[in-house]
Amino acid sequence: MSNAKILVVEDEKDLNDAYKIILTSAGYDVTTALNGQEALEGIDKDGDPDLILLDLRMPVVDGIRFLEMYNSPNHLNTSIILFSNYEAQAEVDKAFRLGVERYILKSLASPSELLRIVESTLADRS
Amino acid sequence: MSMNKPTVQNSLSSLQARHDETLVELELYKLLVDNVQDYAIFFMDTGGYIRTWNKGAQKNKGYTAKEIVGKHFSKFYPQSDIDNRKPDRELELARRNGRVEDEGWRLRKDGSSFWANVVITSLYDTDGTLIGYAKVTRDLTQRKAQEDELRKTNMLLKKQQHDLRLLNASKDEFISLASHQLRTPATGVKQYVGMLIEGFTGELQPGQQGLLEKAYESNERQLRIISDLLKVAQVDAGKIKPLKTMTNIHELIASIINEQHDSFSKRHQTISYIKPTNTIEARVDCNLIRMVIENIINNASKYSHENKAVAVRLSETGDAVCIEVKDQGVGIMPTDIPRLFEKFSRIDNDLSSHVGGSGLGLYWAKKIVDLHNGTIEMSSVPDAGTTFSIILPK
Repeated sequence: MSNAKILVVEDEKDLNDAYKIILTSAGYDVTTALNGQEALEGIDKDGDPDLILLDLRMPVVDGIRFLEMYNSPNHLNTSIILFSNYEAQAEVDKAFRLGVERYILKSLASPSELLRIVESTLADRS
Repeated sequence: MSMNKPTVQNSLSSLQARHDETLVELELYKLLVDNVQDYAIFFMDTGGYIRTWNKGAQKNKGYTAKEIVGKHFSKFYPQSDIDNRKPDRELELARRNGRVEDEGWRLRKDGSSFWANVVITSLYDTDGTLIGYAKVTRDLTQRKAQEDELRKTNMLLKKQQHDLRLLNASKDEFISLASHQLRTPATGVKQYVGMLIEGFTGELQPGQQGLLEKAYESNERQLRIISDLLKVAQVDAGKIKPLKTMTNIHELIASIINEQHDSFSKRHQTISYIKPTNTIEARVDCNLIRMVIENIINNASKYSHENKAVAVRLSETGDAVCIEVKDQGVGIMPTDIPRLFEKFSRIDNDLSSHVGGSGLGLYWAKKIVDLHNGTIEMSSVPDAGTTFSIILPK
């Protein structure tokens, strides 16, 4: 499913760029947002992606607020991976209750591992 | 007969003798009271006017008998007490209850204050009529000063303790924030260098791959140190609350060893596991204990040269399980053992510069085992090997 649509929501510009390069190189259709607000606006405009790579701590609208506003039960065809460097258990638990499927500590995933995680999440979905 | 008959003369003599005895007794009492030096003892009439004065009173309050007899006892009270009618209230209480005891500031003749313990006792004649009050005063200024000093020191200590706790919390918070902040750029390096190594931009020239792999590994080490710092900050801040569930320890170890096989092979080492014949379970937080066992096994491998073996053995006693990790590594000098579980302890040996640990792993592992009311024991022979035993109550 390498033509799948992926939305990267990450406030760190360097990481946002890196994820875009990695995912694009694997053939995914990648759009990016620098916070939850931008992500919601992008979804309003372009429709639901197949997968959202979501950071937790972001300015304007953070990951948890984004999940509350996005209301994932209304978007069953979209998988969400929480991709954070904060091991904040309470927030991670909340994110799972709000529809996140997987949680990955950003610093543990190399580019090829990131691709493996994305690929297996999309495969589970279909 | 006349010998047995009481005569007026006899009666008078007997009365006289009793009277003399009473006088002697009274004289003795007077001597006693007059000469007591450490207590001010005096008699006041029903109105609170002083009628007698002893040496202790003179020493204590500075007045001679001549100066004070006939004066009202409120003279000894500070103006604020007089304004509040404290002297009158004390007499009233003594009259009603038989006695009143009080501690407070009183004044000497020279105007100086002293901390007094005062007992006022009401005195009645044989008909039950109030005839006055006995007042006994002790100067407790020194004791009061010592108590105040002690209280002050106590308060200071409490404040310092509070400040230290705040400081410690802000230190933990700082380490946590700083570590999270450091993680982000290091994660960026991991992605970009990772892309180069993993061929996202095409094949690298000879030599470039090796250099980038070194940069990548160096960055990985930084990320591991950041993770260790975060873990230690959390455990130091008391934020780790083990979620204990009945866990099959054999399965836990088997799964860890299964994951470790590849890294052992890469280092040309072997790992063996002596399984128990029966099921061994303990109430532990399986995620935390997994990390502790991984840490000990990793150390066993990292501090052993190639072609060496690590043996893991699980056993149990009546109320505890024991996970033993035995290596054939460089060992630990006896002088280094006390520092082993300290924060940032780096023990120098053949492999320490190559391993490049954070010096936090064993400190954290011990804290986690402590949270399970367990212990970590170790024995070591330099150049022969080390055995770590994690003992956890069931």
